[in-house]
Amino acid sequence: MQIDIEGRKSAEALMEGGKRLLEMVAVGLPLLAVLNEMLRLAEELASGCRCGISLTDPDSMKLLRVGAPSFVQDRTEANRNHGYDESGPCDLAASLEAPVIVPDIASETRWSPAWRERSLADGRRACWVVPILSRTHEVLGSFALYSPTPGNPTPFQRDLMGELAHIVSVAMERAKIDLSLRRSDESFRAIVETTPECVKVITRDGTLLRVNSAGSNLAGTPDPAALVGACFYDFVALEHRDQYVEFNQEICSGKTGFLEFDIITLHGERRHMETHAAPLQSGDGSIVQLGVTRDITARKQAAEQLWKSAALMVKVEQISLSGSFCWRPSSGGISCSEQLYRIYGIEPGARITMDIVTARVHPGDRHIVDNALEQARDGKELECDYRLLLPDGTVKYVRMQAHATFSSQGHLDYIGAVQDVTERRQSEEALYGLRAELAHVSRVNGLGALSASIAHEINQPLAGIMTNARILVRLLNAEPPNVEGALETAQRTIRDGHRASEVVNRLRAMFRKEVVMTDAVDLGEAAREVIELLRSEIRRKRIVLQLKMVGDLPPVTGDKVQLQQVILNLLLNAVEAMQGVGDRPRRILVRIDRDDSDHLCVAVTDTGTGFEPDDATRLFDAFYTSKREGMGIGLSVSRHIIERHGGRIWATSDERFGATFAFSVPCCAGPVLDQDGPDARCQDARAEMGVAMRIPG
Amino acid sequence: MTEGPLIVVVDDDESVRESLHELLREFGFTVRSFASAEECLIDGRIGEACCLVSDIDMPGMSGCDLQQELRRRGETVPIVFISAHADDVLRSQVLEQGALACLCKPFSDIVLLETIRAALGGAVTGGRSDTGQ
Repeated sequence: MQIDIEGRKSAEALMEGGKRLLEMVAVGLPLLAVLNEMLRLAEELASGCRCGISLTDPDSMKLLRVGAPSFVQDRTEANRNHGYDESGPCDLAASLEAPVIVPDIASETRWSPAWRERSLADGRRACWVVPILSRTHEVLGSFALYSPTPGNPTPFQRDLMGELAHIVSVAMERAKIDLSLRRSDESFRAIVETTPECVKVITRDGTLLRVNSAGSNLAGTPDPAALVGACFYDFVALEHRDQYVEFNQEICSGKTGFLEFDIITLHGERRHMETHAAPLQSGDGSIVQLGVTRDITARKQAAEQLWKSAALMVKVEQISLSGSFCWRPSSGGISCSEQLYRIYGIEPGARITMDIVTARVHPGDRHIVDNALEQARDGKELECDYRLLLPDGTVKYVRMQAHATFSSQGHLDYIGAVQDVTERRQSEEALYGLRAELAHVSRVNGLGALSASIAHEINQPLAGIMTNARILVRLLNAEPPNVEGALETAQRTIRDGHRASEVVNRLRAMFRKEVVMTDAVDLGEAAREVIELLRSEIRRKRIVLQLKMVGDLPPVTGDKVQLQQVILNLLLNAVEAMQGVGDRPRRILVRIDRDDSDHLCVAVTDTGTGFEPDDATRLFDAFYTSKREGMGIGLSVSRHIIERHGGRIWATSDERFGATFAFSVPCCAGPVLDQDGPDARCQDARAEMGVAMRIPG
Repeated sequence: MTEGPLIVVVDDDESVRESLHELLREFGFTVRSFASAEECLIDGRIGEACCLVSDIDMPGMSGCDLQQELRRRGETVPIVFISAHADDVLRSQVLEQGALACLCKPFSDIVLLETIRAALGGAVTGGRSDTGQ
C-alpha cells in the first residue's frame, strides 16, 4: 500500500517532470539544459540510483555522456574523468538497440576488469541501460541507471528509463532540427555574405530590414547592422528617387522587376546600380522587397569610355578628313570606317572589296596603288599618295598609310588610314601661287634696288651710241666724207647697241614670270649674269666682289631665273649688310663648288654686319626682320625656291663680323647641255676673278 | 693737222671713252683718254690740258677722288663730270668742289661742246670744229 502510494506519487512526479521536460524542449531551451534537468529528475525519482545519459552529440556527432546532475561532458573528457570505457553496457545497449541489465557488476565478466573495478570503486553495483531510439529507430544514445545495490530495476524504474529515453529522443530530434535549421540559415547567410552583389530587404516604406556586407560596404560602412532601420530611399540619387519609390511599391505589390539607378554613398560618391528585385513575405506577413543590386559603375564607365573613344574616333576622322580601315590580304576582307566610305564615295554599309577600291583610283595613279599592293605581299609598311576618280567625276587627292600587324593566328592584317588631302593640296597650290606672286613682287622690288645699276648699265652704251651717231653725222658731212672713219664708228655703234640690248634681255629674262623647273642650269653662268647686273651697284658701294668657282662643274636641274633670283637676293643681302661698314674692307666672296657628289653649293660671304647665331634658323622665315632690313621676304622666298629645287639654304654668322648665306641644289642627272667645254668655263671663271681683282676696296 | 687744245678723258667704260675720244677729236681737240683716274695721274700731263672730262663712278679712284687729288696737287684744270647715275647729291657735291659741270649720260654732243667751250673761255677758237680738218 505504502509502496503503491509511493509508486503512484513517483509515477505522478515522473509524469509532471516529463511534461516539464517536454515543455523545455518545446520552447527551444538548449539540449544540455534539458538533459541536466532530466538527470536531476531521474536521480530524484530513482531512489538512490545515479543516472547517465550517453548520446550522439547532435552538434559534433560524438558520444556525450551525462554522468551526474549539472555534469555533462563529451566522451573523451568523460572517459578521462570518470573512467567510462568505450566498451560497456551503454555501448552494448546502443549497438543491440535493446535494454541491457547488469544486476551485479561484481560478477559481471562481459567487460574488462578495469571497468568493473572503476564502477565498484565508484559505488555502482548494478547497471541498467535502455537505448535511445529515434522515431525512425536510429540509435541516438543510451539512458542508464546505476544502482548502489545489486539487483534488477523495479517496474517504475523501467518505466522511468523508457519515458525519459523517449523524451531524450524527442529533445534530440528537436535539437537536430534546430541545428539543421541553424546550419541552413548560416549557410544561406554565408552565401549572402559572400556574394559580391548587394543583397537587401526593404519594406514598402523603404526601411532597410536586412543588408549584406557587400551592400553596407557599397553604401560606405563596413557594418551592415548600422544600416538596418535606415531608409533606403535616402541613398537613391535625387533624380532617380521617385522612380525608385514607385519601383519598390510595385515589388511590394507582388511583382518582380529590374531597375537601373544611381545611389549616393555615405561618402557622397555617386555609383551606378542595377537591381533585380522580387517580393518576399516578411516575418510579420507583409510583403517586402528582396533586392539584389549590382554596382555597374565600372561597367558603365567602360561602356561610356568605349562610346566616347568611338565617338572621338569618328570626330577625329571627320576633322582630319581621314577614314580608317583594316585589310587582311590573305582573305581580301576589308572593313572600314564610315568616313572611308565617304572619302571613296561608296554607299555606307556596302561590302567593300579591293576591286571596288582600286576601281576608284585615278587611272593615272593606278600604278602607285599597284605598287603598294605589291609591297603588301612582303608585309611592308605602306605609304603612298594618289588620286581618286569618283564615278561622278570628282577628283580627290588622298594619302594612304597602313601598318602591318599579325593576328594571334599569324594572319597578316593591315591597319591603316586614308586621308583626304584634296583641300590641303589645293591650298598648297594656292599657296605656291601666292609664293610665286610674292617671288615676283620681290623680284620687282629687287628691280628698285637694281634700278641704279640698270640705269648705269644702259646709259653707258647709250651714251656711246649717241656720241657715235654725232660723230657719224660729222664724218659723213665732211668734204669728202670720211667713210673709213664712219665705218669704224658705225661698228662701235653696233657694238654698243648690242651691249645695251644684252642688258635689256638679261633684265627681261630676270623678271619674266613663268617657272621652268627642268632646265639644265649652269650655276656659274647664272651667277655671272646676276653679278653683271649688280656690277655697277657693287662698284658704287666700293665693294670688292670675288667669284671663285672650280672648273668642270655639272649643271643643276631647275629654273634658271629662280636660281638667279636667289643669287640676286643673297648678293643684295650681302650688299645691304655692308652698309655703314667703314673700318674694314668691304668684300663679297661668291663661291661655287660641289657640296657633295651630286649637289652644287653657292655660298655668298660678306664682311658686313653679321647676325645673332640664334637667328640663323629664323632668317628664312617670311617677314622675319633683322638688322638687314627689307630682306625678310627675299630670304623666305629664296628658301622656298631652293626647297622646290630639292635643295637647302642656310646661313652662318662669322665670329668677328660678316656672314655666309649659302644654298645647295642637286645636280642635273642628264647630260651636260652647256655648249662650252669645261676648259671654256674655267677660262670664264678666271676671267671673272680677273674682274674681281680689278675692283680694289 | 694743227694740234688743238688738249682735253683729257677719263672713263672706265669702253663705249663712252672711245666715242668721246673720237667726238672730241672731230671737234678738233687733242684728246688723251684713260680708263682710270690712276692711269691719268700716272701720265702726269694733266697740267697741259685745258679741260678734264671724267666719269664719276669708276672702280678704284672715283671722279671725286681725282678732283680732290688734283686740287691737292694745285692743278686748276676745269673739270666736266659725266655720270650714268642721276645722283643729285653726288652732282651737287662735285659742283661744290669746283667742277664746271656734271652731265648725265647719255648727253647731247652740243651740250658737251658748249660746256667745254665755256671751260676754255675765249681761247678756244683753235678748237672749233672747222679747224679740225
